[in-house]
Amino acid sequence: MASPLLSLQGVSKSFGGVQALSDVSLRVYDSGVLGIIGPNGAGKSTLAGIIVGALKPDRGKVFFRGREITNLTVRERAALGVAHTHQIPRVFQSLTVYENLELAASRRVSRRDLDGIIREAAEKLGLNGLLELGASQLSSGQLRLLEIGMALLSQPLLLVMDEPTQGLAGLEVNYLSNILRSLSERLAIILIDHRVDFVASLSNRVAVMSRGRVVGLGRIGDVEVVEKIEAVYMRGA
Amino acid sequence: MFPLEHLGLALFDGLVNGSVMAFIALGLTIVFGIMNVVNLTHGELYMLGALTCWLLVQSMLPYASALIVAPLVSGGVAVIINMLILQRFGHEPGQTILATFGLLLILQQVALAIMGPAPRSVQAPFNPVIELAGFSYSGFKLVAGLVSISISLLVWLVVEGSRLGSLLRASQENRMMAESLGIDTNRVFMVGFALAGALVGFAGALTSPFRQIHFLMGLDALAMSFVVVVLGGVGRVGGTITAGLALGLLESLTALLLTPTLARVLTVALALLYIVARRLGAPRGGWRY
Amino acid sequence: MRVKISALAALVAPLALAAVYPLLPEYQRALMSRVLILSIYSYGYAVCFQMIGLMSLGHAALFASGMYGAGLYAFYVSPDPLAALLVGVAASTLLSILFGLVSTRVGGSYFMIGTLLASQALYLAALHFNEVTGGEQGLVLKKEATIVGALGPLLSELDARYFTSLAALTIVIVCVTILSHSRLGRLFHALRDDEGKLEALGYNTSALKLVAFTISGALSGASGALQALLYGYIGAGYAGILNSVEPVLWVLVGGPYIQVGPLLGCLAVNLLSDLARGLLRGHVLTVGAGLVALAFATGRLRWAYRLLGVSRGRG
Repeated sequence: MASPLLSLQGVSKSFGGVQALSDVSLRVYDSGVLGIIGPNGAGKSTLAGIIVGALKPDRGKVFFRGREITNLTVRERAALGVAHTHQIPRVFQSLTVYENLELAASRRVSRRDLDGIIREAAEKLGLNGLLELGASQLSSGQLRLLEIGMALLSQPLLLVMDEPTQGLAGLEVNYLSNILRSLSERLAIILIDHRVDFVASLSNRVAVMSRGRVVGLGRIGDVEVVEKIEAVYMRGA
Repeated sequence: MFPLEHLGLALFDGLVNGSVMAFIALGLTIVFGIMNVVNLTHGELYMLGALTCWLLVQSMLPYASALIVAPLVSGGVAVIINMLILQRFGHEPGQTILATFGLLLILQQVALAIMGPAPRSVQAPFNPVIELAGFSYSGFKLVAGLVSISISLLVWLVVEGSRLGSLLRASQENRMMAESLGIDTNRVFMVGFALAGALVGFAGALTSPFRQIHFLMGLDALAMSFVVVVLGGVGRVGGTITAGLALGLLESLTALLLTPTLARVLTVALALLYIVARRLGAPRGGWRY
Repeated sequence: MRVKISALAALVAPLALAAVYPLLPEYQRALMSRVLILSIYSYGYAVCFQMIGLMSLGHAALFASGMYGAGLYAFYVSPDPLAALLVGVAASTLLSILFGLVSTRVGGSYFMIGTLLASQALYLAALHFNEVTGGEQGLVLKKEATIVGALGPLLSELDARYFTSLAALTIVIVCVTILSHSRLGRLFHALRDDEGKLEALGYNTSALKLVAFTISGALSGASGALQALLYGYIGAGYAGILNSVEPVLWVLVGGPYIQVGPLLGCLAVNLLSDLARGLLRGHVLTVGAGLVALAFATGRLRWAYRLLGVSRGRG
């Protein structure tokens, strides 16, 4: 297989004596979804933080396209093509939907093409009727889509999504599924969510986490992985 | 040339001034350092202590009475400010700064109305000149320095050693949690404000005989208290005392070469530099996230 | 639509101020001139406080550096008001870079304490070098070194003050209005809303803060320089803490529309305090009481609460 887009080597992180991640190694390739599942406190969000640059690991290294990025900031990683979305969507409340998308796109896209690209992205996400609305007027589902739209317009190679279904109703989850499925053909997605069915339906591979370790890694159909998922959730950890 | 003959005096005076500086800052350590309330009236509470002292001595009462009344006045005003205003919005930082800044201006104007724009002074109740190695020193100021450092050390022991310190910290860190443990956080804050106000009011009366009493004197006290608290490590009473002494010495020594005002400019600039270099107030785990 | 309304407001405000002038009695004309100069300062403060959400407690240092830069140049170097104005603005712009640097490294209440200390240091320095600055008493400029002197052949003293400050204010209002609708303005608002998110989109927020402070400092300094050059007087009083906190009040009173808010707030507070002048030390008390009242009111004013919320720093 080709060289990985992102790789983590022996990453550990603790917070005040609590080991949140211990010796985690992972590889992510150019497209497809890597699902990360595990109960609360398994270290999923810490892992996301390490990948996007919000947290610095105590030990271990992070590589992106063959280059070490362990000590790069969130901004520097963003410039290399790492985007992410948050558990609670973060958008600019005092700007309109259009302005939010514009800020996200304008670092990558020439001024001439900007409007077309924004409208195209809005169309795809179903935000095209809302462009002139203030972001503070959106529903939580719409905010989620806006945040994803902003991440995509920054034209990332890797998109890290932390709990994207949080606060979404059933239909909205289906809608999000479809969007992510078509996205995953073009870029790599790391999908962290507590809904096992949602992650399983989208992921090419899943990593099962428990107590700061990756305890299982493979295709969703693998017997071994299914066993791990069951074990992790049955223990009720 | 460094005027060596003044060195002894400068060192000694620096220590005494440092003790006083630490003592004045002590209340701010409690309210800002430990309770995390940016109380900009701290300097005005000091001024109120001095004003009370001047008023009492004006009305022919003994100086000693000021040492009892001034803490009551400043402590009382601090409690009233906390109860009627700051507590109403849960000591929310933005609102607290607006309100205490407003109160700072109002208290200044009240003082101006009472004592007028001219600087006032109070006679020391006793003031033998003490001969030390090579220089003479004001006996009263020496006693004031000793009293300052003694009370400061006592407060340090009380805050670090008793339940009070941990109650103050707990109420600041997590109000809900503290409340659920049965701590009346409003009462804890009240005690903190009363103690801080009384201490700085006492300091106001204590320093009156050797400082000018003026309606604008609080501002310098506020700025210097912030300097001392910040350089001592926010929330650490022992650090405040050490920083006070160190800055007292530093100012005395720089004042040998420069003027006292310029020495103060440098001290304030030093504190600013420290704040910037240590990135104080930047959220943990990095500024951005 | 939004653009049109605010452009309209930005044009109407100066026209209204020009139209009202002939109707005013002499005392009010003089009062209004002072308020117009201060309004420039108010806009300068709003660029930091309202646009990027940072509450400085040391802006008096920026105002005063403009005043001293212009005043000292006119007093010692050359009685040329235009050059003096430029020197004043340059001085405050340089100082504002220092404030900007503090803002990129320090958060929450420490930013306010830091700026407070910075302005206190400048104030004390102005007192210390009183042989140069005139200290608390100040210096009086020669008439030919002032704008009023330069305009002497054309306009009366009163008219010169009013219309010079109105002209400068008009430029400032137009610039701030353009800024608020520009891409830079949107970035400033985004910075206020969520600094971390903006960083994650690849923007350099430290650079943005520096730019905002530079603009803010230039405007505050221009206000100080005009003050010196229209009244021919400079004094350390303008570097004092009162002058740092007044713009906080103006901006909060002025309301959420940055095109007109800083002007309206400055007008409201100063006219109100002029009414209270008969009372004991009316002005300072008005400002003090206004701040306390606002502290209570912001609990209900959503936009003001949001500004103050931002000022306390994000965790």
